[in-house]
Formats: sequence, C-alpha cells, structure tokens
Amino acid sequence: MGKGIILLCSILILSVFSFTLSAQNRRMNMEEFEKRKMEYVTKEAGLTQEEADKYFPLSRELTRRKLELHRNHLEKIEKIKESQAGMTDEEYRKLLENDVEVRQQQAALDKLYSEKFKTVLSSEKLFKAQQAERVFIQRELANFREKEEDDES
Amino acid sequence: METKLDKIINSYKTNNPFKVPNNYFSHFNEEIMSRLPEKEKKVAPQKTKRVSMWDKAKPLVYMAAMFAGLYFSINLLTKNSDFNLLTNRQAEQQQTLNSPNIDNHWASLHITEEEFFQFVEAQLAEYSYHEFLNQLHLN
Repeated sequence: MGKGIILLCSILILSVFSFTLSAQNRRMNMEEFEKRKMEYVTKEAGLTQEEADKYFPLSRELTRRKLELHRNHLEKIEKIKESQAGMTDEEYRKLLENDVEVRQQQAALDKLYSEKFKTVLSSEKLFKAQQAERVFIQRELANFREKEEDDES
Repeated sequence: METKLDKIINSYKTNNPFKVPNNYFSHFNEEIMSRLPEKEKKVAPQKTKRVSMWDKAKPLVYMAAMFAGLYFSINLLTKNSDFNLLTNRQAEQQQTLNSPNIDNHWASLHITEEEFFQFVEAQLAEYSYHEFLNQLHLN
C-alpha cells in the first residue's frame, strides 16, 4: 500500500515536471547545437581545422546579431499588440516599417559578413559551407517540429 | 434342535442387558457441569471506533494539497524564470553592443527552443524566397 502510494506520487510528480518542460519553456542548448553544426558543415564542405577555426566564429557572430534584430522586432510587435484598444493605423504603419527596417539591417549584416567570409574561405568552400549550414538547420527544424507534434499528441 | 447359542440369543431378545444406576439421568446435567473446568472469563470486545468520512478522506486531501502546492510553485518558478529571461536579455543586448567581438557567444544567450527555431524558420523562408527568385532569373 505504502509502496503503491510512493510510486503513484513519483509518476504524478514526473508528469507535472514533463508538462512544465514543454518546448515553449525548454532552454535551447546552443552549445550542443553549434557543436553538431560545426561537425556537419566541416565534413560536408571539407574544411580544414584552420579554416573551421576562422569561419565558425564569424558565422556565430552573424547569427547572433541577426537573432538580436529578430528578437527586438518581436518585442516591438508584442508591445504594440498589448494595446487593449486594438491597433491603430499608426501602429500598423510602424509595424510594417519596422519589418522592412529589420530586413534591411539583416541584409546589411549579410553583406558585411560576406566580405569577412571571403577573407577566410575560398568561394567554393564558402558556398558549400553555407549550403551545408542551411541543410543542417532545415533538418534540425524538421526534427524539432516532429518532436513538438509528438509532445502534443 | 435348539442350540446353546440360540438359547443365549433368545434370552437377550427380551431382556435389555444394559443397566444404569438408579436416577442416573435425572441428575445427569448437574453432574457433567460440575465436572467441567471453570470457564475463562472473556474480555468483552471493545466497540469498534467509527471511522468518520473526514478520516477516510484525509490522506487524499493531503495528497491533493501537496500536488496543488507543487503545481503552483512550479508555475511561480517558471514565471520567475521568464522574468529572469527578460532581464538576462537586456544584459545580453548591452553586452553585445559593448563588445560585438565576444568569443563565447552562446554562454550568455537565454533563448527557448521555440523562439530559436521560429527565428531559423524565418531565415530559411527568406532564403527559399531568394532561391525561388534566382531560379526565375536563371530560367
């Protein structure tokens, strides 16, 4: 009887914890993600250790800066949406302008870093590395969405 | 011819060979009772305590209270972690502005999986659009 209660309590506690640790709340393990990306891209693009040591810090920097732009943009959208009275025409205009501004800034970052990438990798290897990055990210995204669907079902 | 055995059998047909003392059965009950040992005094059984509904429900109520407390405390902690996420993000932004060339980018980044993959999805959508446009130009 006592053991049965303890087992029941353990199961209930674990289910509560698993509920709270849904994808919406789970912290992204960026180190692990980057490590796997580096392994994949290095292999696919045939990068040497020296090339990888120069390429990946730049790639991370670019991703980080784009991510900051993206988050700032989302914060602005959230702030505007929080308005209880509904969005005014002025607010919609600001949203659209901010959207365009973010795209311009991200494009400017792409251009800035493409110059930097050219100094560390040949054009062929750069192309292959960027392709490999995209393939890797697509795969990770597909896995994540699949895992999300499994969690929901 | 009547044998000796036949004579014996015939004599017992009419006479009951078994005899008991006089008035043996009239005092039979008292005799037997007096020969029995003293009866052990049994303790009267105590009346069973009536179990109230509250006593039955108590363990379940305590368990429910425990899980409710656990649920609310976890909710509170996750809300606090969201608040911490916000303050950490402000600190991260400041750090990024001050030193864009930091080596250990991800140590200070606090982002959920959902948020990161939404960002990645947006980036891939942009790329797919450009790829599509390039294909149009090539054709």
